[in-house]
Amino acid sequence: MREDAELIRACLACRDGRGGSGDGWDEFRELADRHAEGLRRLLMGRLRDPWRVDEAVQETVVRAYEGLSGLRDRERFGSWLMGIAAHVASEQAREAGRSGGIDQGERAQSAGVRGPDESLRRAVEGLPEVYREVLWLRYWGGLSCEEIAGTLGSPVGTVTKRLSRAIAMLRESMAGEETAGKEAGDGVRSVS
Amino acid sequence: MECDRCREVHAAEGWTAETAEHAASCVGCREVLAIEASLIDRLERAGRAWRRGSVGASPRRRAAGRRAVAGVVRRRLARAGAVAAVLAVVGVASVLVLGPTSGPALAVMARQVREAGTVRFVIEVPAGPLQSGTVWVSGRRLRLDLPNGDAIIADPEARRTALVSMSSRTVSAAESDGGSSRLYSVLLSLGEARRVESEGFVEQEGRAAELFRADISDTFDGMVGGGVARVWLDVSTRLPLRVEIPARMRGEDGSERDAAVVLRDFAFDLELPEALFETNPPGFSELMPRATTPVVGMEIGKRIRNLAMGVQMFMHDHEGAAPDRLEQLTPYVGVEGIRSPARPSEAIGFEYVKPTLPLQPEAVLAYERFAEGAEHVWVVLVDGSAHVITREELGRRLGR
Repeated sequence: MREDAELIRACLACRDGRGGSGDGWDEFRELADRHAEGLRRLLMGRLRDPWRVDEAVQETVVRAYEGLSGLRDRERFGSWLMGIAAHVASEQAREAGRSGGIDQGERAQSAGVRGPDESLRRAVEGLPEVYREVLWLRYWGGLSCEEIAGTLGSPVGTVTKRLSRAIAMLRESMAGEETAGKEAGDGVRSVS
Repeated sequence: MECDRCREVHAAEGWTAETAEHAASCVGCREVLAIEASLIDRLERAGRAWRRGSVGASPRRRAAGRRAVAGVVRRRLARAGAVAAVLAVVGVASVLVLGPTSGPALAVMARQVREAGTVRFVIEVPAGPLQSGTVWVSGRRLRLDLPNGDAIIADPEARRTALVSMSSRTVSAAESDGGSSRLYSVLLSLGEARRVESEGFVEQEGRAAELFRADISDTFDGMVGGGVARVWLDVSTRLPLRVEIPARMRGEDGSERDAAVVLRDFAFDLELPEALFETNPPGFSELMPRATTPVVGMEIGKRIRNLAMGVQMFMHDHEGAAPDRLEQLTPYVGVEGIRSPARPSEAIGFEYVKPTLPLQPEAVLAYERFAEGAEHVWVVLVDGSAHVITREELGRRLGR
């Protein structure tokens, strides 16, 4: 596997027309993908919502790509990227404060948190914010209960209670969906 | 341990000695925790998959358009709800009929391109036998304007491929059309790519786009194909903004390398003058007549693939029933779609083999009508793939 510094050199060489082909994006994406998990963890801790995090990740990597030639210590790409992400997160948090949150219709259309388990994602989206938030932080952010408590400024006991309640609500809501699905299936069968 | 406490600990820490002990003596908690353990496992897997996903963004989102592209895309998508619904229906139909072989978004894109009266796009080729330039397509005719001012015009109807030299004011028979019809065929074949994955929403040429990766490894052999194409689709129109097709290129030193041929600057339904496709302009030297078998062959390949897609759509609209005759496909592929470019005087240029249920992916769905002496024949199989096979092989597949 190529080192970060080597990928940066290759990316810059492509961009500057000194070697390779294309615009160096493939090299840069390989580089950024190595840090994607850390990036999302960091941003999740700040933004608490995978929908917002995906927007921030996009913005972060684009800024990093555009500013790559300004990176002096190429061995420290990861921490440099996290610094950009922290700036982006602050900007987005301010923006969210001004715009008053995310429209649920837009959230439902989001590709950002789309994944193989769509019914689960929809069920999480349907929970009240305090419960949704702890689930996002715990499972999408990969944070421990102590880290979530630090992020939210709440006691650990409050976090574990919310988490337990969130999972119970999720269980009930998904059981309801499955029952509805079965009934719909029965209906189809009886008609045919 | 109380039930509430047990469930709280289980949610935070999973199974512990305490929770297991309580569950062993409490039927209610045992059932609930079993369900919740499975839910937690799903949450962990979904979260992990999301965290580890590729960043997937395009670098071409410049400062001018640096507003959150995803937000723009979502708003456009909200307005384009009907389009999304159509895509979903087409996707489900494709999966039901042929299995997960085609991305509905690219299938819709290919169909729209095919149905456009005229198409223009720019080809960028790093090096090699394919040529850069601007391509104009009108029906089956195709013109490639080369950077030096010359043009190559391919007219399958007239069975001609001509090089029009503006500098020497001559017209001569061309060896090939610079690969432009081949690349155009790849563009149309993207709807049949084996695997199509969305990489997310980006900005492309100042427009909100969705980027797809399409596996075209079995679309074409040789120079073009054999890898993953990238396609930027306009989220509003579902038409292509940019396509990158993998190709093998030979450098000046003779070494081969992988490169991407770029198709960009698309425009559709333009008013194109007939003179653009004139292969015998007045005052030019006489054009040497020359059959353009490769161009015709490509066209037959495209049409026969379209027939398979038309059958899919027909079956979707008729509760799974296959058409009895090719003429029933004209609402889907057009009157021209069932003609063969090799037999332009005949209304139907292909033989149709009505598929039996359950569908056999390897079964022949249609083949071109061929002359007595023909050795090879275009066929399309039920799985939508088109091939050139020998007549003997066709006979074997048809059980004759």
